[in-house]
Amino acid sequence: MKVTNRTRIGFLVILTLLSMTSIADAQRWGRRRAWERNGTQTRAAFTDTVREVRKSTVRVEVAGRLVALGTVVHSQGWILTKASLAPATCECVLADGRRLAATRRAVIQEHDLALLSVTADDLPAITWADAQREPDVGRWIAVPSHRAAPISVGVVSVPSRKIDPERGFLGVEIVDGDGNGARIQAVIDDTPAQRAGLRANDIVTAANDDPVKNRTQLVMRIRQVGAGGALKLRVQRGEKEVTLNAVIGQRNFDPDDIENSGRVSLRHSGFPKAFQHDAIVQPEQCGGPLVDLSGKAVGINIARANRAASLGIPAQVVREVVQRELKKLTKLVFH
Amino acid sequence: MLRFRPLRLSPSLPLYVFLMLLSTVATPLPAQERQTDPETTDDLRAIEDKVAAVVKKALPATVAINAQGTFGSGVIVSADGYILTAGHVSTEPGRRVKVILNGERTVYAKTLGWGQVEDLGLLKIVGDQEWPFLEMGSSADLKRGDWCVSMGHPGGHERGRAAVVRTGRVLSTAWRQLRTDCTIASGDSGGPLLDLKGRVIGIHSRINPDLSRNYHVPIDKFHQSWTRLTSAETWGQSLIGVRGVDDAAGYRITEVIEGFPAQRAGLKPGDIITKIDDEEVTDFDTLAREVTRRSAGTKVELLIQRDKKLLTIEVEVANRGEAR
Repeated sequence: MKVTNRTRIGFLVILTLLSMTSIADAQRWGRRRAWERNGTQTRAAFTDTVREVRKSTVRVEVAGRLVALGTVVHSQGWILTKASLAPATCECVLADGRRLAATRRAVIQEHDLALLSVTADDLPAITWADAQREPDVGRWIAVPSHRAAPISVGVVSVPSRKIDPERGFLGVEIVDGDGNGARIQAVIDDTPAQRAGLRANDIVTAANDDPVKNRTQLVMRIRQVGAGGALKLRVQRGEKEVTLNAVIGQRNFDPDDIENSGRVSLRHSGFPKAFQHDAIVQPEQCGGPLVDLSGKAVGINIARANRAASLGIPAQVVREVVQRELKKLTKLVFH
Repeated sequence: MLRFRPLRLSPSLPLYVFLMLLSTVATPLPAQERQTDPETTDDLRAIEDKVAAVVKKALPATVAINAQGTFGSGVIVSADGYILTAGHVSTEPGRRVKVILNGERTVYAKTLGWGQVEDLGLLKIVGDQEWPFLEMGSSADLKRGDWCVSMGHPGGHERGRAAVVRTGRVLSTAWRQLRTDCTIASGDSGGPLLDLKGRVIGIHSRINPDLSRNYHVPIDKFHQSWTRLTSAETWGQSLIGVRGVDDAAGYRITEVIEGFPAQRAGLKPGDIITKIDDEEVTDFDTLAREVTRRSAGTKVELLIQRDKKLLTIEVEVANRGEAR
């Protein structure tokens, strides 16, 4: 091939573009080598481990975009996912390629779990690991998706414990409102308050149906609910009374932590029981199963918390929640 | 409010690397063949069994440190209670710090030596008792790909949470630095990096936003400075504060770092250092060797080539910790 100046320039442009993308990528992921803990080759060693569980793993999508992973918990069309990621309606993509319209049927706020239902009666339900056995510290954990190898692997870092809610954050400046509520002085952009539709000069008179008389009472409520919790606000807006629903966020005070953690789940604290592991996932890759080397599910991957931590709800807790909720929703016999 | 002292972060990395270069006579650890990669479930199970055994052994010896509001981690390495940690956690010798053992028991320890550049710290628990400890291994023979276990208290000590376990592989041992993909975070500083036999091979030191860039002080640096550490010495590293490139005539300065001795002495970018005292400077290594041989406060005469003229400039070598 004759190398002209034009082809040389062409090569140069391509090389520059290639190096630009790799630089952007390297900022977060570095040049990941195949043999690294989360490299392609290491993950490929888990192919047998995730062979079965892949079939019960669901991609929850909205307009073709992944918003969460999910887990088939009953063959009759029931899929469990992370509540704070699941919209009221979405699509569930199965490992066999089926794409089914899904409706959110139940939200279990305390665990941040949601049950979706799709029309199907032959879904491959997840196989849970022995209910009595908690995943042991130091044991492998894999995060499956539809591909042959898992998305990420790690080990159990800390046994199950209560994860206290981080300090809740609404995103408002509050003053006392003449003894009959808490007056919103200002609403900060891009905060739970703004998303809930709060406006300056609103007077909050009740939170989660408990009356609010002053600033302190509202602040206490926000703290009690904690990050990820729901707060129903009764608001006096001029002559009108409106009800707003806010999802309390959490504020990360340390900018270094944000920079070094990468993207974390909006709700990553306030779980009654969760074990910690070190598999690295993106927030939208939560909601699916976690398996140990037996290939059975030891829990649901519920959150990416920070650089060093992801959280899983243990299988036993999940099974109890699912049974209880399905009993309420259906007359299914659970087995 | 809790104050975490963050692990050292990326913006200071170039400077740090530069200082590291000055601090060593650049002999990287030997690059050796990589360990065998796991391919099957059985391979993975073999690793997992070893990790589980290491964790069992390491939990009682891994501690959380509260050094007057600075949260970090550490590891007990002797029955009489020596604790290795990162220098930026323990800092000055002679301080009394809180040590929280596995199972929430709090004891006190005294800070001993502080290697400021290498980030070495040592504590000794106050009180006569036999403490659970881990053996100090060696970092010289580490290979890329060696599996390792990381323990520590990310985010600082949390009541009811034991030391947090993470796994990964040794990614690099170049430049006498130990880099792994065991994700560590603020509060882990000083915690142990262990091999699959449960021996301490490194101490968590600093991170970069890239999740695969977790840096640990190689354990051999603790071995090398053991006497200084136990005798509660503080030492930094001699430097003059320039960056540059090798040149046919010597070492050509490209940057004079603000607040360091070279700047005070009037060195400028473009200057070529050709001699230090009477030693010929042929490249960075010769300059670094001569500077680091001298202790802080020593005056050196640099023979400088500036615009085809030769001039002599006197510079007082400074300690890294004291410069600025």
